Amino acid sequence: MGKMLLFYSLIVIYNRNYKMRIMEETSIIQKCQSGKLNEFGLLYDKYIRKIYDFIYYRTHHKETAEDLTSICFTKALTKINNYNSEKGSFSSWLYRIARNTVIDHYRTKKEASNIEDAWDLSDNTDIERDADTKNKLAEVQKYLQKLNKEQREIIIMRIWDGLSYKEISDITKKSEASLKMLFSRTITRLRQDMPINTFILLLTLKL
Amino acid sequence: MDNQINKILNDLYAIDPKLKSHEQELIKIINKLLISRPDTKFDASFAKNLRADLIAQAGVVKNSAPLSFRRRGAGGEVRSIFKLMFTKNYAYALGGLVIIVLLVASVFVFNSREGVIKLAFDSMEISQLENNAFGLLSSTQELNEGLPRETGAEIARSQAGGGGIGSAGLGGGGALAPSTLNDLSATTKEMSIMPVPEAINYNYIYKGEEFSVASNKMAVYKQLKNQAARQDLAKYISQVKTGLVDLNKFNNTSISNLNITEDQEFGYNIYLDLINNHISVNMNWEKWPQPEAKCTGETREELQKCYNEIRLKITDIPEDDAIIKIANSFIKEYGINMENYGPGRINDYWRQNYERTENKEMAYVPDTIPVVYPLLIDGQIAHDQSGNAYGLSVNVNIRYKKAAGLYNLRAQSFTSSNYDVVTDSQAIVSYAESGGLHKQWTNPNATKTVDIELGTPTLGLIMHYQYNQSKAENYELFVPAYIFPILNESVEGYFYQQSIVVPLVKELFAQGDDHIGIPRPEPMPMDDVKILEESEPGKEATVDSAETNE
Repeated sequence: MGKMLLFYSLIVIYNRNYKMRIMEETSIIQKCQSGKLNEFGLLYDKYIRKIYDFIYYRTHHKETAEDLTSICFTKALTKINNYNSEKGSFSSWLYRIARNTVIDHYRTKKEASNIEDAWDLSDNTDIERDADTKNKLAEVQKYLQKLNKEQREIIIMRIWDGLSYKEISDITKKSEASLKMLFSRTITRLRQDMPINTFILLLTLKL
Repeated sequence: MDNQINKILNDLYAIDPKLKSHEQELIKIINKLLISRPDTKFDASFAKNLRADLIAQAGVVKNSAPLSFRRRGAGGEVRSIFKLMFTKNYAYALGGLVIIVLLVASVFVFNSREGVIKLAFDSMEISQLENNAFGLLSSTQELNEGLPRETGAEIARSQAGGGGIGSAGLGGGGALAPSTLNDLSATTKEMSIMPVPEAINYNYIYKGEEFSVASNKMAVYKQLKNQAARQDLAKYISQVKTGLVDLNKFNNTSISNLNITEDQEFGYNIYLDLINNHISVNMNWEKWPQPEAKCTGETREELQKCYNEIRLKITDIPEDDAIIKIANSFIKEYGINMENYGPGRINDYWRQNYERTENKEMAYVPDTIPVVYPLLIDGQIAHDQSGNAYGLSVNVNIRYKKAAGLYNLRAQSFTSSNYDVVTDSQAIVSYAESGGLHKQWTNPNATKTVDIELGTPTLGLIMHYQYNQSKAENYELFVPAYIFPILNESVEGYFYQQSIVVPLVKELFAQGDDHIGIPRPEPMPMDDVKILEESEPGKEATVDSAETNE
């Protein structure tokens, strides 16, 4: 009985803290939208690492990731009045900006007009990638390159970025059910294509 | 079991339940592979600097779609005494410092067991006070009243971080707007290292986006002084037996500053200003080579030839990255805490003068070049009153490829107080178009007017001295200001500024009008140079007017 009460109390406390965090974020966003943009620093502090990593996993290059992260947050700052909480969470809105920023970056390069992220790059491209990352990802890249863009994206978002189906749904504008199905089918394909060690490597690169 | 591993396993089992029979093997593999995950190379200083840039932008609410405009090109005990002093263990650092001072001062007798003083002094603390807690910010104006005009202008210029002719090194900017230059005839070629500047007026035109001010109140920051710490240290020092005088007999003492000398080749003198909590490091002149000392010629020509031979040439100046690397290495070697400083940037005002000099053989090429690391207060970038980055400066000696000095390393404890700010964007633009905080003097004899384009401002802090007349004390404040970038790639004439500053606190904004008409320092015309020749024994010195323009 005592354990149940303790468990229940922990659940209540967790929920209260979670709601408080959400309310704080909502309050900060509202302040930003009312013109108090100096509050934006708090949002930045919360998301800078996540967004930077998100972009790095798609560019494999530190300087490029930093440049695109700067662009992403500048866009978020200047466009924050466009954010509508009824259409999704702030984090999903921010990830969507980051995703589009990466796509725009590669599409504006003449030599990479048909690619959307570093995973589409061939080995002989002139586009810079960090050597150690390139080497480390070489094994899994040959399998991920066999996937289509949607399949690769769901794998990276779900496993490396650690995003929930709800968040991925908000970012990609696809239903959660279809995303779960897509993820399951993609995992099954990878399981068939790659050796178990490589498969585990893929799963552990970020987690 | 680790949650990460558990999550991975559950993902695997969800797909292939048979894998559960190999769980121990899988755990070993996963543990091994977790160590080899790719590093995203997240750079905390990048995040800090981006935050500062965003905060600067956040202070300006842009009301329209962006216009295209050109952007100017965009860190043990003795080992880390600076780090200790400016991080959480200031007390222990000072304790350690006392030990060092007493060791090098052989006249003192010291018992190191008594060498730890507990001083309450933490780093980067910003205490919020009530609104307008610092009183009138423009009290320097009160000081100026009743003083000769020149003195007031000098004070104003000193806040601008230099300016005028003296700005070639660390300069604060401004342009030379000579009033008598039209009357200048010619100077001798030998003296004309730089060409005589044409009298030019400058017309500022705002070309940025429409904007509104984000808030009607903004924080002003004031650096804390730690009198108690200085008194505690004085009590300790007073226990030292000098053999000459009993320091303990002096009452209500406090330590104002300390000097440390490094007695080795390329050694340094370290100065600790305990009143303002600043540290500076200078080269120990006795321990650095002095190439000029080799010039022992007896005639002026011999000396001049020797000096010319040892002078640096433009080809001796390394790339900016190489200079910054030397400064960064110094900072790293001495464990200086750079948590609240932005990335280093070269101050190269001297280069503008070099480019303008006709006779490159005679052009000034500096022996030392400063690398400035802007101070970040509450995430905001600090500037001097000319809009230049204000913060830690490391002087790099070009001849020996070593850091020759460090200035303005400071403890970062502030109080802050909100003040009313100007919210009328049109008034702010008008202020900027009139020349900003330190306006240019309009030369009635100017031969031409040059347009200078201003871009969308960013929010920053500018350093501002507040003088307390009754206490005769000076305080450093950092007040909010808009920094308007100058978009012109180059500006004709002797124009050094890179930005125009508009203070936002209402009181300072209104005071700005009082600065109109105060001319920048003017160059001294060299049209009547008198050369005092060495007199022969028994004869009086004579004035040779042969090289004058008469």
